[in-house]
Amino acid sequence: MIFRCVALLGVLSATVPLSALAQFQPPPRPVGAPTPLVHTSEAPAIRREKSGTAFFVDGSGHMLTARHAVEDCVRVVVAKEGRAAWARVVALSPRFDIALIDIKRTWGLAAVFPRSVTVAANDMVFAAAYDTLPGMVGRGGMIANSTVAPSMGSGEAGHLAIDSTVTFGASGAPVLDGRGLVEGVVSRRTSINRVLAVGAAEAKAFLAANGVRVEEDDRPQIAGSASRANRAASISAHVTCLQN
Amino acid sequence: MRVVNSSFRLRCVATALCALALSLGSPMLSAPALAQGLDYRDPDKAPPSWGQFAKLVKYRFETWVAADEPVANRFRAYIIEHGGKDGGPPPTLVVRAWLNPDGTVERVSFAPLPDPAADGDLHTILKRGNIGEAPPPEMLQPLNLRFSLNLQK
Repeated sequence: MIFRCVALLGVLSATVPLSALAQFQPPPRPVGAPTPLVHTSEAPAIRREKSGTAFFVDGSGHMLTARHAVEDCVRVVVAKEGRAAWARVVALSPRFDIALIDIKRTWGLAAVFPRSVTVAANDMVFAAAYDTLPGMVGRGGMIANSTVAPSMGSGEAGHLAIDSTVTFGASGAPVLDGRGLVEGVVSRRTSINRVLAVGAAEAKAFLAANGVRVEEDDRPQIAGSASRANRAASISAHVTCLQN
Repeated sequence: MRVVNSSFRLRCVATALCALALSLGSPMLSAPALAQGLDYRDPDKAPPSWGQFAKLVKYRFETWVAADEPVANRFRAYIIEHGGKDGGPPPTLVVRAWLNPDGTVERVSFAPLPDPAADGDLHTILKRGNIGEAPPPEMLQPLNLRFSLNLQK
């Protein structure tokens, strides 16, 4: 009987709506009751959530995001333009703050990476949290909002430093150069307006190691006058990590 | 005229009311469906920005056709009911699309469907939203997109 009840809870956890899942609390255990020696799959109690940005890297629903945005989650949800889907965490990079997740379908466009990284200090780039993009697009778009900063030495190896005002929710966002190519993945802030992004070369190596083939091109993917905010919106989505 | 010959399938494995999964077929680059004018541009030789925008248009059209709302539901029901039958819709449809600089769809054109109501529904569906990006200013229009309709119950 116990096993049947546990199995039923497991099924429910896979089908209940997100709002119900967030409110679900397991019944209190009587004081002194023995702890079952079974692995249960009860619907988890969601007590915290954290938000970030992820972007599509192929046509099969694979997305790249920041590792810290999706690790230690009981559920990961990707949302975009009124749709939402559970995401599977495919791989966490052991070396860099990036992770690969999968929602089985690509909503919008897949990002294109440069064959060779060519951005240099003072180049204009674009990076923003997914949640801020609709506002930018609604105001007519934006070509750039950040500049590439000089590297501060070997401690930042594998990273791209940018002067940027991106804030909460930008973790995992793509850093787009003037050609609309992904030059980095937003990771963390190191000081006021200084943000580190995992470099495109490291991101590509991580994806290749996990069997994801990305599109690479050094030619512009958008017109020179086109809004990078719109392209970011086309390739990105909101990612939520539910924690207990 | 910008020609992007591609095919996509509408596939629904459960019921007509489920969210439709659509897949893009391989581009048919060597067999342009329409007469090519002097301004025809082979997709392989077009700037990548044109190809990216065309992909986005295809994605939006797929999404709008698959949307769970009355007009799209009615159109999909028509395809499911009449697809593959005499007097039904053709197996493939070439849609020509003209886009405004703000990303809205100015006009679409395709061979008339046998059912005027379904024909009107598809026009309504494909003109209903914004692509999300502006077309590259130098891009030749219209875009020609080939759809392979394959809705299954």
